[in-house]
Amino acid sequence: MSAVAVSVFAFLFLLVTILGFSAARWRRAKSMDNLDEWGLGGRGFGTFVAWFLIGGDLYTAYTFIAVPATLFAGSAVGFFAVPYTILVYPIIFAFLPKLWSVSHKHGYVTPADFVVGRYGSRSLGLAVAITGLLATMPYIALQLVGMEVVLEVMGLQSDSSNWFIRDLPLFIAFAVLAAYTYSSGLRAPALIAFVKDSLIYIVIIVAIIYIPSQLGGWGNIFDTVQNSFDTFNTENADAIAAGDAAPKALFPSQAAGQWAYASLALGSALALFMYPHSITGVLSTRSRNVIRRNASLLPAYSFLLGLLALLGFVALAAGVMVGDPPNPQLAIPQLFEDQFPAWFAGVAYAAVVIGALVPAAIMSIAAANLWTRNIYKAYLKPDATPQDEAKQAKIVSLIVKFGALIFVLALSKSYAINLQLLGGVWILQTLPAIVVGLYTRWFHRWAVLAGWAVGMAYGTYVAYGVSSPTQEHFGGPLAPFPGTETPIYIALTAFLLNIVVVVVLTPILRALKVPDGEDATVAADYTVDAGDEGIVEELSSTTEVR
Amino acid sequence: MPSSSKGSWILVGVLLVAAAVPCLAVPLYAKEDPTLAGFPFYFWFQLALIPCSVLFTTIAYFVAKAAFRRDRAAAGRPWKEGGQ
Repeated sequence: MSAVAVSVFAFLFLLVTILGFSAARWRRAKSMDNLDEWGLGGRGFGTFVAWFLIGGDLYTAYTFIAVPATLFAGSAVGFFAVPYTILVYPIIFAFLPKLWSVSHKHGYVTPADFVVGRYGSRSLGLAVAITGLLATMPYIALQLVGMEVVLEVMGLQSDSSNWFIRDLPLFIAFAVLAAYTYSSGLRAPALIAFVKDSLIYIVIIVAIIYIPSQLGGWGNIFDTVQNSFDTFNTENADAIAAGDAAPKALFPSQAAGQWAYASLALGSALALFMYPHSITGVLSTRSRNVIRRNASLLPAYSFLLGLLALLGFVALAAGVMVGDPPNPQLAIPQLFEDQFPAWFAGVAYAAVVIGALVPAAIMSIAAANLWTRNIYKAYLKPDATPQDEAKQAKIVSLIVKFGALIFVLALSKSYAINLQLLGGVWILQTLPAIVVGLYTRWFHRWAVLAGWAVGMAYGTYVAYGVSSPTQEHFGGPLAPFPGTETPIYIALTAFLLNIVVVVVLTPILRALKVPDGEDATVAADYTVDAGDEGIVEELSSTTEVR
Repeated sequence: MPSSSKGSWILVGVLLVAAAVPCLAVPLYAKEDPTLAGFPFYFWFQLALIPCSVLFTTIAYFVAKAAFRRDRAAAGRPWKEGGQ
């Protein structure tokens, strides 16, 4: 543990804490007592703020730790994070402006609100809301895993066998986060995201220029990594042949690996904008145009992510030690510890930890919005006032965060990682309801619900059956496409099955004249923009939009 | 949508496909050579796709913005400068 590194870290952490609490006064509203203010920051963010907020939302601390870790570990498909982020933006561009318009017109706060309005089915809304909650919770837990590895490398975890004492720094960081999210709502992560992204940019640019120069340049790094992988594959040839170890490679050179690579990128990109926290970020923008402009500006982050991923190779070439048994997730923080001067290592640690706080705050707000709108108000207290909703959401945001904390600390970390894997499979099953719903009401509401159920059940079952050299179940995101040997991202296979069920059942249900729900929206609702009648430019608590 | 903007929307679709699809053609770029500044082709090609994708989505943004305004005007709901 270096006193300099810890002091720099503590200073930056204090800075964002002050920012977090003062965010309540930023772009001040008359009152925070409703979900549009607390949960969507007043729905008034412009291009600049939204760029940081949505970027802060998508590129999480876990991404910063886990993506390079997979490359470090020699997974040939680890770099899929780059095509994934390339695919995300055209997808946002195509359908999110429609969701923005219809949500502003009708005062929808969550994707499940839209589904209820469009399909006239509270059960379908509940299914979408529960899927969102299930997928978001382990995602929050993973942010903690990201923070934990940094604290471990900094030496801030004591050796106590009591898990509470050992992880006290994590508890403190999370308690502070919970407190300012409670008081400032979405404004807190929006403001902190400026600091987070600036720090991350500085750290990665420095890391990508400075460290390779210390290691004899990129050519040398790639050669060293290739030799290391070749040695591993030769030494473990028997184990690899027996399926007890996975071969290592720089990139997928066989067709099977290439299918896996492309399907992971496509499936993850489609799933990303079904996550409630990404939709929260998008709905908080001021106008339709902000979304499309951001879709063309946000790829700046993709470039960053690509370079960051390659730091996994840099860590390997630098001979970073990650413990025994090896934990590849320590690779990046350990690389910073080994290669940077102490003060800059402190900046780098702060960047990762603050990088965990921003998405964790947005995710807990999104989960709280879902609970409040689609379970609490829809089922438990239909006559809830906007004040009741805000109060409920604030409390739920606390419960969600502490639930994630206990989950990570008291149970094994691998539970969180397994559940996060399942989360991606599950959340993609809400795409037919949300995205197809934006374009057409041809799908029958019960067919959509049946497709969702089939996709969820199939995806979970298949993921359970995947074993890896280290795990019997939930061993990875890939499984052979039915009838072939080709590995494909499970979420994508389940999604195809989901669509087939919906398309087959819809005409049957229509022929049987099963009542289809009433659509609360009309075609023109999907193209409204800020400045139109009934669309308030910036909401305040005195404006009733519902 | 009125016929006047149909071409624009098709162009937007083509631009978005052009921005998205190349990165899915993995077999075309999963190779070592030619290297650039020490980076195997596989890595530098994918990094180079990012600015290309930005270019296509940015053009699509301007085309879509103009087409959206024309559609709104044609539907009798002229677009007003609201946010930005």
